[in-house]
Amino acid sequence: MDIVTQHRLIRQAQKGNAAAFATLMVDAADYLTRTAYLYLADSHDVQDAISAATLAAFEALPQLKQPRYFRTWVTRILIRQCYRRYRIKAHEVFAQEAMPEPPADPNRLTSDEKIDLLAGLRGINQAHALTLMMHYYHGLSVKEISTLQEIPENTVKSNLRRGRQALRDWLGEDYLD
Amino acid sequence: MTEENKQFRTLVDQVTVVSPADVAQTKTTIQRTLASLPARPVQRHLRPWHIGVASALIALVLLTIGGIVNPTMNRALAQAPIVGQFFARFSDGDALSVVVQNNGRSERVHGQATVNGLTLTLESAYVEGQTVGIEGVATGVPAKKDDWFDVKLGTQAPASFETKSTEVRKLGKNRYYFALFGTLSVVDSRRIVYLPLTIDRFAGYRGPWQFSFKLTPSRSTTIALSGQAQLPNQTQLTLTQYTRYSGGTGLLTLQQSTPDGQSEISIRSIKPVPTGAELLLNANPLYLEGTKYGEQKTVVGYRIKQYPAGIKNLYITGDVDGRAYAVTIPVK
Repeated sequence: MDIVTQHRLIRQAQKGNAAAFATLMVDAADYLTRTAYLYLADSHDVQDAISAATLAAFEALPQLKQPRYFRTWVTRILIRQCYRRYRIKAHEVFAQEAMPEPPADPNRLTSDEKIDLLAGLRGINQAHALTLMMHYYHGLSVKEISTLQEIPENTVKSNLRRGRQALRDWLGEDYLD
Repeated sequence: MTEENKQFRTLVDQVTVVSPADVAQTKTTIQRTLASLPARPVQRHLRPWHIGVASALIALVLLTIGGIVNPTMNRALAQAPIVGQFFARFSDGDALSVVVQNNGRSERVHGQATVNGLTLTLESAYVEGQTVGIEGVATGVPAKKDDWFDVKLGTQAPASFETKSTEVRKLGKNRYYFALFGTLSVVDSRRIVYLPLTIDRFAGYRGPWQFSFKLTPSRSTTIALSGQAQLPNQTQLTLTQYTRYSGGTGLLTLQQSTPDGQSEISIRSIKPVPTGAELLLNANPLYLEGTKYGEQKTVVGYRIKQYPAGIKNLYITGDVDGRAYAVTIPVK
């Protein structure tokens, strides 16, 4: 979707046009699904989070001041919904398992290796892995993560440090240097 | 994007692949969710710049007329501290600070420390209910290495002080605005607050910069409330009290009940009339009366703008475990 069309649809959606909003969200379906799966393992939870994020975003859309930040803004709403579900189910979903062997060449991964690598990411302490994901992948600031996870900023920074260290221990000393 | 971000993104992008079936399911979910919504009336919003332009015009007229007819007023205005210049520095996310400052309830704080050519100057602060805000300006910062600062409190500081967030924002060349927000327990929030604090690290540079000052809490009045509403998943909200602070904000206290402590109740909007102005200032509740997140019954306080006298109902929307709700609770 080109930027002009996207901004036109956002303006229509801000005036309450649900069809315009549906077009925007459906256009981002691939991205939204990938994002939700980064935080949740179960497909029902993923769809539930997307549904809740859709409702929350539609309701809050009039507050979006800069249409160019639509993607970032929706991402944050979705992450919030995912994190709520993650927190409820964390103890059920992720069993801490032994870390798999790191890939020899991360640029040429087979499907099995990709699954192993994802399991490796999930094998890192979950609080650290989620914080890494929010900060380095989705660009949330320490302040935003602190608000979202309801923990002090110093704990967020400490989780980032430990997460980075875990990645270095697993993938090599020069990782994230 | 930093090198760390790129490296991590590459790793994550390489390992996350979703199936076309999942994406198709997402499209269906979105369409079904939006199809279930009732039609929404078109809303017109007063934009901040409308208010800004109108306020500026009114101020210009008043100042011009005041200056012509009242030379004393002109002298007084010339001598008044320009606290107004700080108002705009608080971001939208800290609406509570903006309310307090616009009501003239933040205190001037004097404190300056220089380490290795980097000077931190504290400028104003407030205690409004359990929320504490401190702001200042950093000068002589060569280049920002990161966007936070580390704070340690001295032994005289209230034990209950908990740092909630910090903010560092560029103002100009080598100049940065910084702010620290925290909360106090109910008991500590009613006393004069001594805050000896040390900033160990600022935007990636080592300190320490040391400060010490005291703050007087805003005055408050509390009234008991009743009124309740049933929410999804057999959960319930009950209004218990409302506290008004002299800085222009209030704390709406509610009891949340869930059958097993597992359901998560959130509030996204509190309004005096359905189409009225938003009262909610901070969607993160304060847990009160010793209750904690995850308990079956919790008492939470939401920071709001003061609501008008004589209102009959509060219109509250939010969600319970992702299920949206909209309720009207009588204010008795």
